[in-house]
Amino acid sequence: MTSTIADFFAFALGVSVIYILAAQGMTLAGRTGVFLVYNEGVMQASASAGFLAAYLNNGNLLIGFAAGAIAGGLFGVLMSFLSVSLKQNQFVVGLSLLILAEGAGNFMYKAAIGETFSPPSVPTLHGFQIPYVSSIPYIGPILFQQNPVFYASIFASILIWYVLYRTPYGLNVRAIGENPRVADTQGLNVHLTRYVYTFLGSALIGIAGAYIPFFLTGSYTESLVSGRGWISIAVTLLGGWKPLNVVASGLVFAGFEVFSVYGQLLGLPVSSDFLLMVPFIATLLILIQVYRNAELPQGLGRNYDRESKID
Amino acid sequence: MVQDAGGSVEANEGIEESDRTANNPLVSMRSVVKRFGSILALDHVDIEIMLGEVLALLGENGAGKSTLMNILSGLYRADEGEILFEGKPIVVRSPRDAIVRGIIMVHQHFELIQNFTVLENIIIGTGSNEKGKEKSVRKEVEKLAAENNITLDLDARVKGLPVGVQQKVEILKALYRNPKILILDEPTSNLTPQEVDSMLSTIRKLAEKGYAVIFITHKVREALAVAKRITILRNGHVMGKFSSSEVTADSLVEMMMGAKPSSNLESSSHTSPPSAEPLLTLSDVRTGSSKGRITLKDINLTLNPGEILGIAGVSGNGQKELVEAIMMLRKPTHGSVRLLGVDPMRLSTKEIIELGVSYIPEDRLDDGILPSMTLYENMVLGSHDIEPFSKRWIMDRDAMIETTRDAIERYRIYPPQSEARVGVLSGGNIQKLLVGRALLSRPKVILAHNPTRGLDTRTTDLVLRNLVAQSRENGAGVLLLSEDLDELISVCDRIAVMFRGEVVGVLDRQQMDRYRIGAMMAGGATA
Repeated sequence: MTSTIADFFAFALGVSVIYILAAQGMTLAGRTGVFLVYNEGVMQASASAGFLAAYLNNGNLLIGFAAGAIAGGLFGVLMSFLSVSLKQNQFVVGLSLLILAEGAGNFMYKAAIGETFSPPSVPTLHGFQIPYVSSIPYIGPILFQQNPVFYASIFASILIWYVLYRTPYGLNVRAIGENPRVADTQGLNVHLTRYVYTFLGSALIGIAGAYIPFFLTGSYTESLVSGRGWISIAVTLLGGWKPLNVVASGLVFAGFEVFSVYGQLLGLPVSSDFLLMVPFIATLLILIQVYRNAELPQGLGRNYDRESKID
Repeated sequence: MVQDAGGSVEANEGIEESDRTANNPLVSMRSVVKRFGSILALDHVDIEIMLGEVLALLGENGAGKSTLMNILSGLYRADEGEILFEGKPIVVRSPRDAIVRGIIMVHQHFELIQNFTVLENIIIGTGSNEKGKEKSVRKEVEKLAAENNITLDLDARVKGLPVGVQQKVEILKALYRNPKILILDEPTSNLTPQEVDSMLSTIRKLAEKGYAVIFITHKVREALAVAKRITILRNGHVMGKFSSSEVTADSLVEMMMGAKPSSNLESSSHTSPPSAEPLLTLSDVRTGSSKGRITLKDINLTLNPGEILGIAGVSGNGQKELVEAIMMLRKPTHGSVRLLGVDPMRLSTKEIIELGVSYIPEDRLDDGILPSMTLYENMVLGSHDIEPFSKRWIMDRDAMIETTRDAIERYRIYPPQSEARVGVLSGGNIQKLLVGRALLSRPKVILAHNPTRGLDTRTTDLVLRNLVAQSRENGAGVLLLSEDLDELISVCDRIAVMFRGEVVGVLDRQQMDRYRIGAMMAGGATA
């Protein structure tokens, strides 16, 4: 039983990478005022791109992650072009791209692999034994035997926090998300910054997507993302677009997801369908409470047009 | 003499430098044209800006003052014309181009980020690539503040700071950018008379220190008090350029408005408050607390028939909450209300309107109109389901249009088309529509929240006249909430002053004094 508890937490940390990376991606774009909603689709497309790239390169996961990031980044460029340059509604653009991305992911896979009896696979990520500390009972297996991407995602989160909240440059970036007109009148480049951060954020969402086959399944299926993109939006909301809070909320939601899996394994006397609902119900309950007090970037979701007369 | 200086750059190209430098403008804008769609906002405008003096840009709302300065500060781009900086033509493509030349604009609607601290707001966009300089930056800002007699808590969040303080943050933020030219767009709106005086003296001192200050205003008195030169704009044209010593206030008003100012509103007869039962009585009214809102504390007010009761106060001191409490949008938690002879506590807002209460909301875009519907539909909204606009569940479109035509004529709403969508109207025209709608049903109680904000002088006059007429002729009671003290003093029978959710005093006509009211608005005195 004790090792089950350690396993539970170790697995939850592994899963949390998906949420943390995707939510940091949303946070990056959101802090400049671009509200990304297409995580579910972009993660599917980049899971497909990442898997195919790795599979066609003898299971090289690094190439796979790079392909995932590029796929995500491409959607970021499309998103910026349509919303920042053409000033189309961010949510409409996001949802359209979501559908496009989902289709593109499945199409790419079918075009490259076709229908197969048993799906091709790549080796999954290995745990990384950190010397000395990895053998500490409980804590070692949970914290110090994770895969490298986990550590990278924590490092990236701290870096994002530091840059956004501890540097004058980060203040400028956040100013754009709070009030683009103020930022513009202070000589900051609103459009370029939004492009860059939407690109970077979407690339992170892409890495999160590629992580799913590389961590969980080793192969690609059409329902690979299965709602995790939507939950990553909830993670961002719960984290209030603040990088460190996003890490914490990513861990919480990973815990719910893993709980619903373990609940079935442990044979809890509850319908498995109900257990699968747990993450979504938790999302609902947490957000109802949290969202009303959330302090969002004030310019979130609003496009900026310098010469528009209405403030 | 001023115009000569503007032309001298071109005409006197051959004359020795030393002779001209004193009179040479730092910046001249020449023949500037700006269109917004089909609207010509600026039509070949020329202005000259000198170092070490205050230039007032005087004009009504929509005259083009802010548009002109937005072009100089790089926010808008001119369609035609040129900008000369130190005699050489420059291209200002973005605010950055203006900032590097020391052209800094403080915008009318505060450009502060509410979630950031004062210091963060001041340093946005500066030194963006330097790290770890926080302490020296802080010292620099503190020094700058001390030099200009500005006291501020640099770590306070802007959200929740009083308007006067936010204005100081704006000035400090501008000074931190090492300006040569400081453009202040209506910097005195929302300030109490005392704060206005201190702002004007700050502006004079800045000019003495050698800055070129451009003071955008529609207040003739302030322009004369602070500026050396005054340039008047009307409908996108320069109407004249004067030295402030050679003009009178009356002639300035006339040029600004394009017509002689109509006779003073004050002359309209004030009937002494009748002894009849008050239309509205609030006794010890309190409201509950909620995030970001002011709590009303023991409000006692009466509104008599035929009376105009003004509510003065810096915005955000409970005015909105007061109106909401009367309309039962925010139910009082304590005390009692009596409205037109009944207790409205259990009534819905619709029922209160049906009693004969009419409300001109403050936030005209969010609360007032349906932008994608037509003028006539918006005009009759609220009374569209009763006679004469509806008969037996069928709307009478012709009756609606006819009524709307009358209102268009009466309030000079532009465009004068009943079937135009309201979304295309300017803010001022939307406001006229809202006033017209509020007065359509001959209400017994009128709650008017900043009904003249954003209107030009003539329309302001028109709206106030209509409110006065409602009270004098129809015996309606008007609760006029306004941030413009002159307006309140000119039409009100009594003025109640609000500060932090309390009524700190009610003054009758003999007691009305700008400075006294200003002190009360700042919480410094009671009646």
